[in-house]
Amino acid sequence: MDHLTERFLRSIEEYKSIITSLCYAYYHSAEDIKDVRQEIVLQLWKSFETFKGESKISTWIYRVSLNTILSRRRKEKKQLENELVSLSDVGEKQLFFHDDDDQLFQYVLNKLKKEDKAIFILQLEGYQIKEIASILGLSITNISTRLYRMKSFLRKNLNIKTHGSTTI
Amino acid sequence: MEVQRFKASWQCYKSKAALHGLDRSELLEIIDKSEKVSTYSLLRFSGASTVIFILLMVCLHSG
Repeated sequence: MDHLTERFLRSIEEYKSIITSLCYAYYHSAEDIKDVRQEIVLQLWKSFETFKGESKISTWIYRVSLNTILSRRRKEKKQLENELVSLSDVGEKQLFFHDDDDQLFQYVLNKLKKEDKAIFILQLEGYQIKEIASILGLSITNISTRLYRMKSFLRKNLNIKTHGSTTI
Repeated sequence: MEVQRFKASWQCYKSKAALHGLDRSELLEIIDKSEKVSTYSLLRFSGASTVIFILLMVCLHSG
């Protein structure tokens, strides 16, 4: 096995949680998750040779993975219509969580639109607005506006949750 | 801040997601498949170029 392939395998092994968690954030069926995961790895492999190390490898993995997912989602027009998952659907599609905060997190994740979800995830990873804009290829103003709207949405939902007027 | 509240959930999400798949054999399979596709595309491209070249030569000679 050549040096490049070995280096690639090690990088993917180290950061596989990024790839898999993004797949789980956007897709629910095991088949879809497997397909999109393979597509992401393929894209990463195709561009690995040209990765110059100008950004952190984790940032590069986020960029390629999110762009692959977002472009795939754009193609799936029918699925896009169902982007906003209803509360009952979230219950059925819960994959991991039992804790209250984690359930709320899963609910929020499923309620956000595709680009907002990407911004939300990158914020959770601690990226700055400028970096998020560069990763997603959007303007800083666009990111700021979306973040403002998203925070209002989160505040509203957290408030509802605190006052117990909804079940998640 | 609202986002702060979910940071731990995201870390938990990531660590649980990491347990699902993407082992070395799957990665190698994807790489292998991609190389096969590239070789096939290259062969197809060279094949098409050869045909065009032959046609050009035939045209030149017959003209």
